[in-house]
Amino acid sequence: MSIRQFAFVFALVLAGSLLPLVGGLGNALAADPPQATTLKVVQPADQQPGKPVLLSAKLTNAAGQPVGNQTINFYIIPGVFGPDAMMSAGRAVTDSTGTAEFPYTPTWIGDVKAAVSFNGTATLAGSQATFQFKAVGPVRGHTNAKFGLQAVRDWAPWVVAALVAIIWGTFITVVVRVAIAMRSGGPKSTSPTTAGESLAGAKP
Amino acid sequence: MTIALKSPFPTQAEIREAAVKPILQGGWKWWGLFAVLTAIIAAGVAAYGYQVMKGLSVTGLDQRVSWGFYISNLIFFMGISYGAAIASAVMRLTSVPWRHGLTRMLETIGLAAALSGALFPVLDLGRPDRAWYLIRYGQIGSPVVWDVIVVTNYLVAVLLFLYLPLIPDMAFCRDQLGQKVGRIRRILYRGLAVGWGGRPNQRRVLGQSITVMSILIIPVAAAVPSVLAWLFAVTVRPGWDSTIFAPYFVLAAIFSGVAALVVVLALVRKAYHLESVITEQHFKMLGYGLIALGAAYLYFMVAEYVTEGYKMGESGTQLELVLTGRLAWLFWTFVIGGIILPILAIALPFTRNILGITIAAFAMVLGMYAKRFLIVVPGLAESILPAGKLTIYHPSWVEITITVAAAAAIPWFLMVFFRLFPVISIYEDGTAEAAASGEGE
Repeated sequence: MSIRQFAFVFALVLAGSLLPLVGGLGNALAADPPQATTLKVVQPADQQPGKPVLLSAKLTNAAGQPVGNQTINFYIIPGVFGPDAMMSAGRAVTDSTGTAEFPYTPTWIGDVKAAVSFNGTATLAGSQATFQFKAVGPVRGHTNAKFGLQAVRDWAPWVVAALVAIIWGTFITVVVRVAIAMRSGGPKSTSPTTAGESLAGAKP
Repeated sequence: MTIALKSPFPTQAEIREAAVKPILQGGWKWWGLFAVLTAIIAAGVAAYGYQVMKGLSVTGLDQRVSWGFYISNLIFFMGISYGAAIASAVMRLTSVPWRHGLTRMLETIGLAAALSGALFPVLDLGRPDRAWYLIRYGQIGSPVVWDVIVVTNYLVAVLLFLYLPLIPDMAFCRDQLGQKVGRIRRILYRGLAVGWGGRPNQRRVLGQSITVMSILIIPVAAAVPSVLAWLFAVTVRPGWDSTIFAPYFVLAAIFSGVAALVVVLALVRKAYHLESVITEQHFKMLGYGLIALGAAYLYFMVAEYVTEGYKMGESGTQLELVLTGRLAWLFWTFVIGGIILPILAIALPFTRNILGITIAAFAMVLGMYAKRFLIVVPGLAESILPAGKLTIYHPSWVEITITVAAAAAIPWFLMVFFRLFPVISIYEDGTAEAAASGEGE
């Protein structure tokens, strides 16, 4: 291969390598910037006992039109690991009205801070929102069993009281019976081993 | 032709004579030891007064290790107490023929150790008035409240268990000792004899009552170590998460109770010259019991640690601390010096004598104290937070002084008790012989 031929092949390879870069730059320069979006949270009602809370958010574009078929992430902010640390609760996809709904059962009672987030796409910018609702319980993981350890806890005081009553009943019965027997009359024993007074000959 | 064999166990006359010997025998040795023990107890009281004034900061306890020597002492002393009580009850119920020299001592050890051990939760509270909070604000769901309930019941049970067989012996002292004892003791004997005359009805009721209390004290006494065990096992701490803790503690209690009995038996035998009553055969029989109990305890301990160690992940700090870490010397000293060597000493014929068995039993008692410390402290020393560090606990001079004083209080109590009451049950020995010869009811 001559130097001219080599230079030609090298130029082709170089051009081929640069083409995607040039094309990308061109596309980038030509494309519109991602469209702004807005996530609006539908404030959930306080949690009903034993039922999950329906977390709901509506995604709209800059024109206020609903954006469907996009994934929305739902988070809980427990506050334990820092004021901004979020725990993923789950995700849902927006419907034709731009609404994504996720049923969530709180794991503690009281105010629950939450967040929703849309990560964005090439044409849609990401957005997020925070909100708060109240969990009134009972909560998952702490529900009262109809039968089981909770029932044992309910019975424990009565079981303990019954056992203590049996023990003290026995104590009192023993003491009263011995006291009555000691006051009873009748002849004293003549056995040298059971009545102290007849052990006159013993040498202590 | 029949050959009269000398029984290895004492005769009735020997027992009766020996039983009252300590009552009449004082002397400078008794008073000297009494003074020394009283001084040690006084030092403990002073140390506790200092702790009350300055607060728990004068101890080695801190925010993490809040149960150090004090709770180890509670388990240890209470363990000796209910171990002794259960051993006595089982001997009575199974009519062990050689029990007569032992039951009174076992029951007295039971009361003395219980009184000493029951003080430690109050000491651990810092301010004694907080003990009232356990009753005023106690939650029935808390094992701490269960502990208050079972210990209270147990103290009453062990008092009754000790007192009932003492009634006829009080009558014996009332009628036989006469002017040999002072006026106060005569009044005491008359009062505690509560009119005993050895009548058939009295004997029947007393016999039944002793049997009832022997039966009752077994579950009541077993409940105390069980609840103490649950105090640990239901708490989320490394090393305490175990289902066998309750029987493990009951076994430990009986083991240390019988070992303590052997030591006390040897001391009482020597001090009051009771060689004819407490024979080498008694020591051998108890020694065989110690072998069985020690082996069983070893089995429980291996079962506990194998289960825990097999599942141990990177967070096995507590077990590593005990087996290979900073407290390994104490653990292996306990295993070798507190169980294996004492068992061998009792098992081998050339060391199976009174001295050998007593030394072995003493090593077992010390070993069991170390084991209680190894249960309580390492579990608290390890942090349950991811970034937490191991805490180092060292008992302060205050805790050590109070512990020594509590230990001294037990022989002090026994000395005073046996100065007032027969060291051996005269009545029960007589009843057994009468029953054997057909005189019984």
